[in-house]
Amino acid sequence: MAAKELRRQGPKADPVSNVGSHHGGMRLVEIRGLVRRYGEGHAAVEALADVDLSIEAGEFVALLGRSGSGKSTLLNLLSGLDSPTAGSVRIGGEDLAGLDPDGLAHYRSTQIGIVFQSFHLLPGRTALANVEMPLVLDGEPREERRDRAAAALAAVGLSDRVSHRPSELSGGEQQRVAIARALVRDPALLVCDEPTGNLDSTTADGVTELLLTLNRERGVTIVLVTHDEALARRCASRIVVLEDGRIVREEATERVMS
Amino acid sequence: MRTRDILGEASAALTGSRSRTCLTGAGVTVGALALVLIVSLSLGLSTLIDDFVSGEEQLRHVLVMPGFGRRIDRSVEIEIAGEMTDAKRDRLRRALMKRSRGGPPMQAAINTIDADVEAKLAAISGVVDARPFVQDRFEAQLGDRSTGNRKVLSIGAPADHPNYPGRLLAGRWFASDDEHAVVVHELMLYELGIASDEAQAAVVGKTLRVTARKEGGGMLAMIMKATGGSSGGGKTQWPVLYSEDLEIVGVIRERFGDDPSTVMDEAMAMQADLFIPTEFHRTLSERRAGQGGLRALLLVADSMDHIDAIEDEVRAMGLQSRSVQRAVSRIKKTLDVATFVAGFLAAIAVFVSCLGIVNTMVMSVLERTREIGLLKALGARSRDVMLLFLVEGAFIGFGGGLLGVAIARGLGVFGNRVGTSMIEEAMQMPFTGTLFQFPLWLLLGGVGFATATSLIASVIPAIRAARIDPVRALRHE
Ligand SMILES: Nc1ncnc2c1ncn2[C@@H]1O[C@H](COP(=O)(O)OP(=O)(O)O)[C@@H](O)[C@H]1O
Ligand SMILES: [Mg+2]
Repeated sequence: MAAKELRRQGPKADPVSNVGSHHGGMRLVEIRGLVRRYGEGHAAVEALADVDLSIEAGEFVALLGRSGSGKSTLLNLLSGLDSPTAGSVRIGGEDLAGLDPDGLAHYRSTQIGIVFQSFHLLPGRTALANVEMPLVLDGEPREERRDRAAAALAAVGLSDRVSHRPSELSGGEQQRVAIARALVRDPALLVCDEPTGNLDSTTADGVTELLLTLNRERGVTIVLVTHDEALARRCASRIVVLEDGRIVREEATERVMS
Repeated sequence: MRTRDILGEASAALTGSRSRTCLTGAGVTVGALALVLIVSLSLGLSTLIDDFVSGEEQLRHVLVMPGFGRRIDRSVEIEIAGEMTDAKRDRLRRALMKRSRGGPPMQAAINTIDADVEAKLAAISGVVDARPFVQDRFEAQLGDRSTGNRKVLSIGAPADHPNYPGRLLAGRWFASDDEHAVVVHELMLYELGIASDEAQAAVVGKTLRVTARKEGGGMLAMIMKATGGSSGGGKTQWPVLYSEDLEIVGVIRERFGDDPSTVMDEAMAMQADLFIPTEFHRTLSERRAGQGGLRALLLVADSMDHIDAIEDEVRAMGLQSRSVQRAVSRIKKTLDVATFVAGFLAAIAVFVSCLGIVNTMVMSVLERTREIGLLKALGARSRDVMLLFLVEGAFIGFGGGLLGVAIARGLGVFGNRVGTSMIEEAMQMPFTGTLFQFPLWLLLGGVGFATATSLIASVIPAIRAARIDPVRALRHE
């Protein structure tokens, strides 16, 4: 039932308004008793052990924790790239466990935007073509996707880099292109796995500021993984700290950045 | 994903690693080239055979010739009866085997085609016509010119023969089957020293004297030739049987180019210098004592379906039987086997090129693991990823196949030119057939086959691509 519901939304349906992110305060993500175990027997690693977490639409959540604490695992489960050993992930009330592989692919393409630490841009293609890619996968007509991709690039401040290839862009610019690609379909949730991990601190600040702007001005719900607590405090509305696959601390912040 | 985008992505990936694509495609090209050429040659040869025996009537011909007795079937153990040692039994069996294998040159026919046999043959059910083939050898004399010791071949020809009258250089064809007349071949006149068409036309109306000599065949003739014969001076001179004066009514030329002919006529009249009306020729032949019967009798069946039964009956009478239909089907069977063997080798080439495609695609999947993982993370369905690689494989197959078929077509033109000149040299006459034939279905089929096999070859790599786990593919190192 849930699977059908999600797949019935056409590619042009607006998932953001669909889950009511603009109305604020509505529960967008609900994670209950989430467990992810790798391997079996003695070699088994529990990357996530009984995680409960709720995220409201419009929130900016920073996931903190040491390397190996399970942050990436949580993001992967959130974005439907991986499936849990136990527990449930609900987005906008729909349980991801009810989706078949195609349903998950559709879920990723409509509800989720992913930003990776190492950008993962396609090297042979222009910034515009990279941003267009999710729309190509959606089967969007050429003209429309050109316009939407250009708009997304404008939103990250790269209107003048449209036809540059990744090798002709700086690290910060590349990550902005990746953010534009993640946003081009207006996802309900933007997940960023250490997006500034490969950037120097000045550039990192710029990217973080961009995320903050997107959250504030466009109401994009963001989950940001970082191990830089200071940076997290400056931009996130809430901080969640993971340790050995468990949430050990959760606190609302006074955002410093403006 | 839209079909157009899938095609675009696939071709972008192929042009991205151009040299590898070209090498893989070259494998397909060679395979398709070999396969198409072989099929095309087989088609051409098959059509040549069909054209050669063109006209349904020929396929209804059964040529009956005198029999040389039963041969022993070597697959059956020969029974030697009576009390004797095993060694003797083996010797006798071996002797019997040897004798049973003696061929026509050594033996006189046991079963001849005399009037009785001819009537029986004509009465076989399914036989609608029985045309006697009569042959003889004569010394020919025209005025003071003579063929001398060289004997020329004469054959009996009917007044209503379908093809011979069309080859007359001068004069006319026979008015009836028992007319006392002769039509002479241009080569014989040339050998008598009459060369030009005009000079040859001038012999029409003159008298040709033919002389038959008593002549032994087989072993005796060979021995006499070898020993110098009975008369001194080197050449054997057999005693004269009779001479006959015949009016030359026409001059016939050699068959050339597209002249219509039948296989049986070709076989019987290949060396004929004299054409004499059938019935009259028979009366001449009958004047040869001890040489009873016809050289051959051509039976015409009412339908091709009856050929086998007629041939069985002819053999049961102890006579030899030949049919165009059987010869053609034997040649075609041989051709089929040759085509199959060659096709099998070409199929191996295609198979090897498929391995190349599998290898290329697997490499490509490995190299692009990250990219595929990314596409899946961005929402690509497994089906899209699979299609992407299938289309890539199909593209290689289509491109390689298209090139292969095009080259095959080009080589075919070249092969036809070379083949035609070789055949013309061998046959000494113009040849208008086509050795390599390329019907549209073969061209399309060649490309289609290459595309389909490449597509099949990319199934496994495509499945591997579709199964790539995006989490693992994108893990940050
Ligand atoms: N595919 C996997 N197989 C086995 N163990 C894994 C796998 N992925 C992650 N892990 C383990 O799970 C734990 C959490 O990993 P991860 O979520 O990547 O941590 P983080 O992103 O916080 O650095 C680590 O101990 C890691 O070694
Ligand atoms: Mg991580």
